[in-house]
Amino acid sequence: MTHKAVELKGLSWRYNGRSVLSDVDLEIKKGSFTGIVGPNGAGKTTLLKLVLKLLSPDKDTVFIFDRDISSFLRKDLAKRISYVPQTINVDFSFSVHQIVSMGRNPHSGFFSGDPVRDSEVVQKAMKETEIENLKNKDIGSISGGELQRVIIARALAQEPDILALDEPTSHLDLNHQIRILSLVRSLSREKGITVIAVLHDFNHALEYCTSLVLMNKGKIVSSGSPEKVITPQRMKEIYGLNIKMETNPFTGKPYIINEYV
Amino acid sequence: MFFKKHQKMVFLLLLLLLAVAAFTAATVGSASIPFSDVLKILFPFLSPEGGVSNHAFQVIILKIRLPRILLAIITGMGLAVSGTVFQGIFRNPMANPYMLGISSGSAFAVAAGMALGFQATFLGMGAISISAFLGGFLTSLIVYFISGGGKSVFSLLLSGIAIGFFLSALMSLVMYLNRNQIENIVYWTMGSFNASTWTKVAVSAPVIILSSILLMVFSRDLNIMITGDDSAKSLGVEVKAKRLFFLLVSTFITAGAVSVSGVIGFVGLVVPHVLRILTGPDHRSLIPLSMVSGGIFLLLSDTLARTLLSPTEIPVGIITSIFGAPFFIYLLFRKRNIIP
Repeated sequence: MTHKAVELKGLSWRYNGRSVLSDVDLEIKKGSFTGIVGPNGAGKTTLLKLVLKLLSPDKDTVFIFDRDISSFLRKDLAKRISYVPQTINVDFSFSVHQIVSMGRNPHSGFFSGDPVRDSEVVQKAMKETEIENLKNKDIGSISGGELQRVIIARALAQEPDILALDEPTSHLDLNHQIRILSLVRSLSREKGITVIAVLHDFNHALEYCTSLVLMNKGKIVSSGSPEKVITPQRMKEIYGLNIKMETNPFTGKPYIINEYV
Repeated sequence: MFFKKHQKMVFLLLLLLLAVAAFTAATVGSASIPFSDVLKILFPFLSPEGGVSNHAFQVIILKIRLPRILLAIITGMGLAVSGTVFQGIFRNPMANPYMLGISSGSAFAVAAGMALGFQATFLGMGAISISAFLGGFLTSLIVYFISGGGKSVFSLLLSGIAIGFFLSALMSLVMYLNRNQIENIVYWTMGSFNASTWTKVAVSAPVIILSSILLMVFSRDLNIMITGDDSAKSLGVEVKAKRLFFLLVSTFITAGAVSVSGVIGFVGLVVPHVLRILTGPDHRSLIPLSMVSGGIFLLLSDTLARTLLSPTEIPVGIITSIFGAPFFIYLLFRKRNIIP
């Protein structure tokens, strides 16, 4: 049994002749809550998209549970890893239940699939994300925090081993940011799902992640346990800001205070 | 097909409405034929003692009205189904079947064909129908390749607009240089069923109905594609391949519809939109419901087109817009009041 959910070996990516990722090596442990942090343009989202095969990486550079991602059919990949984008825009009045049910797509074909089980899994996903009361609501009529829960429920309905989130809290207020991340953390703990999340807020990253990947200019600067990855020296080098590390009195986790320029 | 309970009722009601509309349409026209005679002519086995006395009625029904009624229904079905699919592909409820330049492509090909005096026939279809079909279908393919193989719906939309304008300009040039054909060309672009034949029915019916069924089979993927390319890919949909499939099949349908009736606007826009408001956005039910409703809508429009100013005929494209647009506006207002 492997301990690596995701492995990158010499992964590079170019976009319009410009190098976005260059020769990245990384292992993401099974069951970890791994945060990807770094400044804008560091290549965080590109890395996530390559792991999801939304961009097609070269052969033998991205492995999901030791299997080359390029050998996966999209449908089979969708059973292992699911995606939580920042938001989805739907101009048609699909109900919350219909959207969450789409998560069952990878598990149902023309001659296969189990409608009874599908509906059970969908129910459970909505229960775990506390959106049962929104079931019949129009997807266009709910709030940003609710929509993010719906997207997570849809991802859970895929019954994935890995959950990949791209700045899941960027459209939310502080209260909802914390609620969403806590939800993801408890799902990760209870179900043993590996979480890979691109995050912007260092304090969230320090609080929630069991492992961090700090990126800059298409390369990984450091990876490992959060308190080792985030250091005043690196923050000064990458962001040009002075920071101080403190301990959060509520949780005992490290957090940063930054200077304002 | 996939219906919830109330949708099944709606579907059956619509089918019934279609049948009633078809029979009623057969009775009206420059010669008014009693309903009982229509029944006897269509179902001779119902009156074994020897059908209808009036032979002229028989000819009018079987040779003129019936093919016209069927062609209007089939064309309406095709335009509504392809409109539904185009709105899904473009993730936009304002999309219509002519987004990829089919209308201007067909119109240019027809104008060129008329100007050059094309006479060829194929499978019993006239030169104009063939030009319209090929012009429309090829234009869509060109738009698809210019957009970088359907890289994104946005690039498809822009390529469609660019090619559409280009071909419209070419058509205007052809008309300008061949002024004796202007009337014919303009009438063709307004759409009409007055040249309906059984051959047109026999060719277009299988094309449109089989293609529509094919679209229904894969309609779940279309639902998922509405959430965006990346989102759909992450749910296991091969987005680029499926988009090509949906575009090809619905373009095939649209080109088929245009080739037998000219460019008839509004059906493909308004019918799926209305059905979506009334019965929900799930394409598994929306496609079959739009199909039947499109048939009803275009049949009623054509019946009005040939009876309103009888014996003069109004091009059916004028009717669809005159009656469709106010209804559409009414629904938009109604919808605005429902959603706060």
